[in-house]
Amino acid sequence: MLVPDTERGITEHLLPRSAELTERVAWFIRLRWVAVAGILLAVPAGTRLLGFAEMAAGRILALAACLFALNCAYVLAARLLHNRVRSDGTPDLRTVDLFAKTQIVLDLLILTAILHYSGGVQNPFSFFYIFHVVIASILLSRRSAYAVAALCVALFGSMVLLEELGSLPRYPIAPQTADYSPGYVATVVAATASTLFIAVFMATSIMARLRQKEDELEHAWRAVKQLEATKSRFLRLVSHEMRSPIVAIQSILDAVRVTGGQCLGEKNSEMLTRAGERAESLLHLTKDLLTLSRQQSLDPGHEQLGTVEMLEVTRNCVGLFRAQADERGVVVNEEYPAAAFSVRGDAESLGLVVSNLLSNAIRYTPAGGTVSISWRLDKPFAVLTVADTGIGIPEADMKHMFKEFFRAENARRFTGSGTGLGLAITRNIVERAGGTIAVESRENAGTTFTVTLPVAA
Amino acid sequence: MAKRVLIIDDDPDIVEAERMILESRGYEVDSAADGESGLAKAEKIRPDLIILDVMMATMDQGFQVAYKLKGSPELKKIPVLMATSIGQVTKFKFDPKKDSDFLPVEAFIEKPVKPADLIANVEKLLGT
Repeated sequence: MLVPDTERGITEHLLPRSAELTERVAWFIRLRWVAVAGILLAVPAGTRLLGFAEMAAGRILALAACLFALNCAYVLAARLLHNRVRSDGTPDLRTVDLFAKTQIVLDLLILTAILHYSGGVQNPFSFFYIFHVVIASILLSRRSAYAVAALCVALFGSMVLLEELGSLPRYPIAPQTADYSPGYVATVVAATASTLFIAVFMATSIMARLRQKEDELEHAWRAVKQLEATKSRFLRLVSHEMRSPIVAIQSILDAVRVTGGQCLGEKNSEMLTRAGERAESLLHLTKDLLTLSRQQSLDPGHEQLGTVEMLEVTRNCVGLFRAQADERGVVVNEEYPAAAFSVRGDAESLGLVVSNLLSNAIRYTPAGGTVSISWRLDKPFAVLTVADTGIGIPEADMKHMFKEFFRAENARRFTGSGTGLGLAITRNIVERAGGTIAVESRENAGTTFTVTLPVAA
Repeated sequence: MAKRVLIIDDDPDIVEAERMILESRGYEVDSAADGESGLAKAEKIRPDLIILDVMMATMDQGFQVAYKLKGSPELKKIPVLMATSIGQVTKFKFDPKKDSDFLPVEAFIEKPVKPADLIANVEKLLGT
């Protein structure tokens, strides 16, 4: 049974408004390329296939060229904006807002001009105004969205009015019905205007609900982060405060055992040794807790990262555990690729990944068993496998293996010592380094841990 | 004559434990619970060795005491054994070879101190 580890702490930041807007602006720019292509296709289709002889094809193509040039400028501006971010890594909201508004206004002017040159009130593409109105409702404030709708109506209305009054020439696409009654024209304008305003009303109402939910989510997220930090601090404080008394207990036990000599007797001396060992494992627990809380309180971005030569780290670890394995009658096999490779991360932490997995494998493998540690390169990843022929993990316990303080039932029976924090710590380190960890096991047959880490270039 | 050891540590239980071990080996043991009284006692009794805890009232009080000891013409010859658990708390590890240049102590010992380690270090520093 393979259990990939999917439980994660909340570490991703919510997308700030300005970043969302920037993303949408990029989307805007991509859509505009499509619009330019659409115009370039529509013009010959209109003049050749549909016989719209009177539309001003040349001017429309010139406008398409204009739009193309503008979009190139937007791409450059977006790149410039991207490079000039604020200290927290997000672009300035007001600048991006202004950028988006400029694009909308220029788009509307071009759309109106194209409509004018391709039939004016006759052209059903006047419905394209609604896209800008909806986008403005989503991205900008409610007031700005209504302003965009009003601008659309003003542009369309004045174009139609000027054509109607004869101040602007007509380029009809349906010449046989070139003259509309003023009543019909007014109805078209009214229909367009009401559609646009209703669209703004609906879209902004939905957005307001959405923004409210988003705010609530953000609020809850912050509260969780806060709680997490408090928990870490508490953990750190407790484990720190626990250390001194444990050290004192251990020192006293040792002192009594060593200086008591013969008057203690063998049994008493043995009991003192046992008490000392219990204190020792408690000390390990506080150390693990400190490591864990230190990891949790570290922001992933604030770690000192370097490249770590993993084969060297692994060989050192195996060297450190060799004596323990020999003592327990466990054989350790190693298999490494010929070429050295590195992983981005902190050397001590990555060493902890190898040593935690290795020490578990040795600890839970009875005498006569084998532990195999291997690295294999599967670019862009390096895969560490630590396999043992040990007691295995009961199927019911598999899903809890990476939880803090969890120890499988058979592991508890097998050995009293162990804090249940090693794998939680290991998972944290692996995920911080951008990797994954998985476990595969059969009870009484053995366990295999597989760690996949991205190789540093 | 028995050698005198001064233990400067703010944890009375640790002081007692170390005292038991050292006295069982025939050393004469004095103690002080903070840096200031430790310095005063060192001045008065002129011990043959000082065992100094790093983290007392403040994180680095032990260091301050060590610098003062080595700054005093009368006391600077007394060897200092520094007991520390700072490694577990800050992940900082001492390297006696490198650090002796800026840390004025003769030896380091990790807390919790194992009796055998304590005795070995004390014997080495006192040449007994």
